[in-house]
Amino acid sequence: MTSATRFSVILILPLTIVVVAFFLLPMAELFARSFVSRNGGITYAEILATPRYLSSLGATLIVAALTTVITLALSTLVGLLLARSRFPGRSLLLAVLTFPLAFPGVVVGFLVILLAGRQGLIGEVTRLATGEKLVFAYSMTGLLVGYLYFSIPRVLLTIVAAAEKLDPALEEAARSLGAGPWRVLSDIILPALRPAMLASGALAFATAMGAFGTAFTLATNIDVLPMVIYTEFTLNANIAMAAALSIVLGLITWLALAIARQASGASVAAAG
Amino acid sequence: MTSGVSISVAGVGKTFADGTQALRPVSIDVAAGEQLAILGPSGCGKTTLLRIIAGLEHPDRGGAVLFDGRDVTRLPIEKRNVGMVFQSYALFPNMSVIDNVAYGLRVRGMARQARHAEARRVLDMMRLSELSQRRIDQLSGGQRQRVALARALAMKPGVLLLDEPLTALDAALRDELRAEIDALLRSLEITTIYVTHDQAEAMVLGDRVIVMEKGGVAQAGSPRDIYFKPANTFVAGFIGSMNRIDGPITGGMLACPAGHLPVRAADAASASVRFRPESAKLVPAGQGGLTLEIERVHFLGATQRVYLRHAESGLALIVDGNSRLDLVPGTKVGLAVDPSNFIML
Ligand SMILES: Nc1ncnc2c1ncn2[C@@H]1O[C@H](COP(=O)(O)OP(=O)(O)OP(=O)(O)O)[C@@H](O)[C@H]1O
Ligand SMILES: [Mg+2]
Repeated sequence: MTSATRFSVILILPLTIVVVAFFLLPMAELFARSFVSRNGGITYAEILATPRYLSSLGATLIVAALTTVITLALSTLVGLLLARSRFPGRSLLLAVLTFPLAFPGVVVGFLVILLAGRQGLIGEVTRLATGEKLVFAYSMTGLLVGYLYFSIPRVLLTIVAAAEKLDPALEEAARSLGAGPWRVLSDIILPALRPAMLASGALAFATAMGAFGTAFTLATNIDVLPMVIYTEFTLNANIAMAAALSIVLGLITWLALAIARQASGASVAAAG
Repeated sequence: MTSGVSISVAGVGKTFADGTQALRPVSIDVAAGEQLAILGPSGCGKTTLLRIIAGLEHPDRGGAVLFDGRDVTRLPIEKRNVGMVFQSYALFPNMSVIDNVAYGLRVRGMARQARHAEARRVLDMMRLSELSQRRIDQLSGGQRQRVALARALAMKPGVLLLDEPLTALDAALRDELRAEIDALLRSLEITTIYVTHDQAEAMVLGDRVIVMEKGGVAQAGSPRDIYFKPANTFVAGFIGSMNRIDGPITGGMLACPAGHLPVRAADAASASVRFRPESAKLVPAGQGGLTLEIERVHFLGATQRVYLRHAESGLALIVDGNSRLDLVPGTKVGLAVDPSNFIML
């Protein structure tokens, strides 16, 4: 062994230990325990055969997908406006927008209850206006509002940063070639923002898939997957099922991130 | 291709929101098919003027831009049919070369086959055919520049506006492309406005040159006029190299510490005469009106530039001449200038 290779081995050793001990071993354990169910069947087959698990998976996917789509639409719109305008208080506004990033999911859930819970702001206003109390904190809508609350700032800031880096001459060139504002948006600006949208959108999706605190606080009638995993593990002591559901959740999230990385990587390369 | 439109800029000024007056009201007429060069130092308002003509910027109240006599002042750029070439090229990174060139035709609704055929024709003309499928980041600077020009030309615009299109390129490529662009534009007969701070570019490409200074027009004229008959001291100093001698004129003779020079001018207690480095001639010391010392000689191949100095007064002059003449720094020489070559301002 040359001294150079010995040196790199010494460097790699601690990393290897950390990866094996804290990452690979628990993962392997989780994976190993995820196959044989409590009743001696195959957990993954049981998931497919149990409506409760399937509907939970479906609901989680729908909430995460809706969160991603709505977040991207709103953030792109607002982000483009923010990137193009200069007004007093702009940087303060951007700073305030990052505020929700500082809250854990539990606090976000609490905020949603304050907003749309039984004693919530929206309930009071609608009661005064129509006589009917509008309460949606404990429904799918409440969960969605909570997820939007913490995904929008992250995505918005990424898109503002990407939009500010756009060469204004690109848009002017497109206009000189006859393109109106909508064509410029669809042909030039959105393609240029695509990598940022994919990367931040995937992150929003992944976060929404795995978010637990908000769902837990809202104690809703919707069972999102992380809640089901929690219930299986703590209340039912069904470790095999909790492990199998965790693997499913992990795979979906990992896939979303991988696809986004692939897509944004390729388009980043294409954009030079 | 189409022949160009005529452009009329009438009383166009521009004050930005922050109070910067980038353009004092200027009026310029460009004939259909003319190649106009706008030349001036950094910050003099060249880009602002070009952007107002393009429709990317609105002039201050009272200014108007007319294409073929039609008022387009309020028309946005996408409705003006102007071709633009930007200093940064602004090629679309998400499209191939041919899709870039065909983009304007696509916006017009031309079918894919037809617009690609048209784009290929323009790419052929610019000798870019082999690059048509390339991505933009696979092109060199010079190639990008030509694609940007091809993209603008594919629209068959009535007006072509170029803002320092060659500035980002190295000198050799700049010379080559300058000649290429000139030949192309002359064959197409598009009305062209070419903004540059490079004198050589302005002289080669402009049928007419407008020299700008601090948001106004300092002089408009043919390259020859601008060079040989500068209208004011700014143009005289900005274009090319210029010698200047100060002194009193009595009886048709200008007196200065280095000697006397015959001039065609009335008596004056103090005057300035100017002349180009190439309009003076070196003669043996004692002959000619002035006697100076050779300070340095820069051999440039076809010519050489001789730096002369009058030690006692500090008067410094430059003379361009025959490079075969072997001159030794430190020796004294005489200087003769034909009175017809003096520029009096
Ligand atoms: N959007 C703007 N807001 C405020 N001032 C501006 C704006 N654009 C240009 N200016 C100012 O107007 C003046 C003229 O600018 P312009 O870009 O037209 O100069 P230029 O002749 O093109 O210079 P250069 O050769 O450096 O490109 C400058 O003082 C510049 O700082
Ligand atoms: Mg400029």
